[in-house]
Amino acid sequence: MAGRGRKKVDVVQQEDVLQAVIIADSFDVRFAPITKDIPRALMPIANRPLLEYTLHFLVAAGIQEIFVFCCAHANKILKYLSDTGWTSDKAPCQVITQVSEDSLSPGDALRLIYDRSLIRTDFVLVMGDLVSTINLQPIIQQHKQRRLKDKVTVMTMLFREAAPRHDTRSSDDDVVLVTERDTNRVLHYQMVEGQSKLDLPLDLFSDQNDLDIRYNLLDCHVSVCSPQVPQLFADNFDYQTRNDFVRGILVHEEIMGNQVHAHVVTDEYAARVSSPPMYDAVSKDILQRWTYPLVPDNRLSSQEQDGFYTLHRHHVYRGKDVFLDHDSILEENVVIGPGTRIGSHTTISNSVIGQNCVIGDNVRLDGAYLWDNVSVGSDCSLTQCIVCSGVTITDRVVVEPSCVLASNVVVGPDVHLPAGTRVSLHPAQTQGAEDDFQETTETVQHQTYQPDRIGAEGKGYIWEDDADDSLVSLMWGLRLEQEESSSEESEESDEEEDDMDQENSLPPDDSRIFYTEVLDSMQRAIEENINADNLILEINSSKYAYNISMQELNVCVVRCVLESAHIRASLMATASEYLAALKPLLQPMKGLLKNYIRNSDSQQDCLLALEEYFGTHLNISAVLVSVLNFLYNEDILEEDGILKWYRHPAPSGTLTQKAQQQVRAAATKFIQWLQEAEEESEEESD
Amino acid sequence: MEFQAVVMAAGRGSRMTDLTASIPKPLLPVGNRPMIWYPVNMLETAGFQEVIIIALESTSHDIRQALTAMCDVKVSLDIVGIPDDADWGTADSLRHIKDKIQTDLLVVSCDLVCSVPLHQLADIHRMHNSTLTMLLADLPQTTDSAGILKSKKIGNEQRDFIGLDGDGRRVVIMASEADLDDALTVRRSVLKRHPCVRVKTKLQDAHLFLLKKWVVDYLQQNRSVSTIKGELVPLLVRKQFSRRKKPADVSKAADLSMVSPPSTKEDNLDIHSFDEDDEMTVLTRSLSSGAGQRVDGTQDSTITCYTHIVTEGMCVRANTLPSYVEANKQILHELAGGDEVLVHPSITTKGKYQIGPECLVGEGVSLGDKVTLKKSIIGKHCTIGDRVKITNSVIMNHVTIKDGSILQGCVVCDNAHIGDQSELKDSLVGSSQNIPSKAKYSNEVIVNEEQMLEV
Repeated sequence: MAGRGRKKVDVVQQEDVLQAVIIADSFDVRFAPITKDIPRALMPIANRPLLEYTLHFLVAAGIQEIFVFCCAHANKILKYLSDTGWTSDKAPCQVITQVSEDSLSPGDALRLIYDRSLIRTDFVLVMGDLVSTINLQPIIQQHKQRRLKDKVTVMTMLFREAAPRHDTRSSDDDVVLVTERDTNRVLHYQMVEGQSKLDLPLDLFSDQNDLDIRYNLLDCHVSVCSPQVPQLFADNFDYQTRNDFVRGILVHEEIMGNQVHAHVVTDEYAARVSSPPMYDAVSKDILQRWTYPLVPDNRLSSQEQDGFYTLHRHHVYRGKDVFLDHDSILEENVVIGPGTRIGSHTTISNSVIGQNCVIGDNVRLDGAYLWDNVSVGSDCSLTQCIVCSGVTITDRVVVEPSCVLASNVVVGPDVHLPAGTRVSLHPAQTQGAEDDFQETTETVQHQTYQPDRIGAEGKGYIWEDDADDSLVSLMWGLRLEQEESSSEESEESDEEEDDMDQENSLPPDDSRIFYTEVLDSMQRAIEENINADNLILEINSSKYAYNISMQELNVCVVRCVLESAHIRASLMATASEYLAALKPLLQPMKGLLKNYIRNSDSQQDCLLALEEYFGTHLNISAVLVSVLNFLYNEDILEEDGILKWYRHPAPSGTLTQKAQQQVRAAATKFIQWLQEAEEESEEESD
Repeated sequence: MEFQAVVMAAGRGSRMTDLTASIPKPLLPVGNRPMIWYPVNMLETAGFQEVIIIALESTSHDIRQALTAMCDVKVSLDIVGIPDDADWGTADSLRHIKDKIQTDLLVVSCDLVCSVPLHQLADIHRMHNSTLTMLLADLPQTTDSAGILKSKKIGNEQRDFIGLDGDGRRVVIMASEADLDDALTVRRSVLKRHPCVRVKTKLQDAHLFLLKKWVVDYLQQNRSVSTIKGELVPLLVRKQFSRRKKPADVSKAADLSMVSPPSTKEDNLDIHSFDEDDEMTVLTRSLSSGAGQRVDGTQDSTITCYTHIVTEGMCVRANTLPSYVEANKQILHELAGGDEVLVHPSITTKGKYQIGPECLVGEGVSLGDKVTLKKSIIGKHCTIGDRVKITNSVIMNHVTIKDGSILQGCVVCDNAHIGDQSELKDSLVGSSQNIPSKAKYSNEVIVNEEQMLEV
């Protein structure tokens, strides 16, 4: 903008100036409703606006010209930058703001930068919510050298090594990267959020190089870009985000020849405050000094006069004029802003408290982020929440984890905010809610506050979670573990499916469908008391439909009978419960069984089915005797058949020998009886 | 006895039928010794007292003969014949000798020509208590070695994708290109445990495995696995990451499986149930402070696959024509460094001859006047005429090469006859073939027509 023309000293020097672009807009609604009032870049983290961290990171890297791209709340960012002196002549580097109210994505922002032709050389692209201590200089040098050698190098992305499920790994940046070992060239870039499998195209492997598949990377969203990047964004208007860009480059690599590289840092810090869980994680890292020198007790610039903190044991940072009443305890990882008063018997841990807050007696704060001018009454308990500036929490309020109270809200007294509650002075919008938007033009709906939910003195609207809104699920809290476990489950289960696919030589589909069909018809028959003949007719017709052999059919029918009893008794039934369920079934099913079990072969099928069924359900194997007895008495099974089965166990594919033995052991009583009866009858006949 | 050694020698050499048409694969000469001598010798050097060799019934006698009589092998050989007409895979063969297996076992293919000391592999096996330890080697540089038959497509169709974790010892991904359609599928659960996987495509499987005994028991139960390399190894690698079924799960699985018809239940055996720990291990685990803390846990699965990658020394699998040539070449190189006599003292010569440093000349060879040999192997009882030049070639036994012929990069099988003044380059001459005089061949396979048909 205006700044550039004025500063044009000489062209050669201009070429060497290191430039950076900060996208000071998130283009999403993760932090709603906070971002109705204040842009994400200005949200304080450890009592310092996020943008401050990003700017200092770039200054430390020796960047001389920074373009801050503002979209929503642009005036607030402009005001902040001029108030803090960043845009003045005294600033360590030149900060130039670029405002565009109608950009909708980082892609739009870069297109705008291209239109205004601001970029002359390699530049650093970062988001305005970055906290990082990476030394960029060597990385920029590497990028430049690579580009000297090869003009097609367009971008070097920065990653930090962090194991999967690392706290500061945002779930929406769950990325798998395939890089070439020696050159760090990125060959494949894929988001794996919610996927259990990853398909790597085989053409990736055509080169002779070893490849690394890396899932231990945290995307810092810092990229060193070649000057042609804004142009590429302009040429491809469908690139909305950097991820689109990277994917586009990789897909079109053969045509365009452009290449993307990755740089992995291991012992420096970088993380984006991209969602409330990240806010929590990054705050903790700052308090625990992982981000040194970006820590509260380190004054970053001469402007920060009131931001003077002293460090005490257990990472307790206290500002000037903090008043602690007797018996109040600051446990660990606590920042108390200047001018804050804390009442007696109050315990605070893992929390950040802004300037000029007033906290009452007997308050318990754990993982609470209180911004400036917050007042908390007595006997409150706040856990894992963000409380924005000017909020008043009156007495006896309990705030459960994952709550967000936006600016100037009042809650209480005597209320209990359930987990995940979000309260704002702005009424919740039903649709089209864009983060970082300025005062919306729509007419303010005159809703009334809900005193039963936010207290009698409460001021603010509760934002309800929209079930369809997938973004809401990214709010922090319990969902993390739930999601993990559920995805784990599904992973596990399709692993098993996979194994079935891979290990079974026969595709079981037809016979399985047939089996369920028979089972269904049988259950219907039982419920509706359908005649056995009709059932037989039904089964026979499906037999032809699925081309099932007679043997399979026999086995299937027996199994179905046994299983329908199991279903009636519940799958976890004990032997006696099962027997009780089976008994009434056997009588009506007698006709059916007689129809199918007619000769010695089918008897063997039947016995095998029994064996398999009870072998897999050993807990109810005691019932086998009764079943055998019934079938014997009904002349469905014959003595010879049973004995033959008993003495010569057929090799079974499904049962271990142990199970087979157990089944036989269960049948022993009946066999003994049978043998005795046989002997007797022989004796009699003698 | 810690390991039992099994040499798989029942392969038919289906990837180099031109050579194996007349000589069974285990007996193909490499450096004038039958191929199978190399693995057996390797085992003998490593201190094995007994070696089980699985061979086709028809060849088992010849193999014993070749090893004991010709090569002076001292270990006791237990040669198990399998029917010639049974088309068994290597896992089928293991199943066949199941009763002989008492301990963990070492399985090696007869076509491995390798100078790696076996203890290196065994150390890894012991150190990690791994279920499977495999030997991998860099792919031989087929580009320059096999001038022979360049036209034949080499290599690429059988690339293996091998993913190794961190220090490059644990195998976490294993897939053969032939089995994949167009993508290599990687599970996220694998990546969660091994977030940085290095995928190598330049490695070849040397077909030398150390296996736990229970794997054989598992094979006994699960009959669908028929080859070690193709099915068992990928299965084990995959199962490293599947959960051990808890007793509750088993009953649940049984409930689920009720829905499936009996035929599919056959393979539902839980592989983990075979890997039962002995009491001591269980006790150690329960008493150690780490118990129950490994959330992402290897405790779920006790199956582990490790590898040793050969970085120095030779390691070639002579299972294709180019790799056969390569094996011969490397063995020459290896021998030239040693102090073995390369030219048999029994050769008869006539006039001047020139034998280069990397040449091996067998017993009873007669050389004509002004013969030049370079980097070649001459088998036993060959007759080589005057002014013959042989470079980079493998000449098997009882071959006659008449005056003035020039052979370059050739393989000449037993009893072949090459007429005078012929020039052969990068060609294969089948056994008992007769090459007329003044013939010129380049890049060709000269075998019986019937054999051609078989191919």
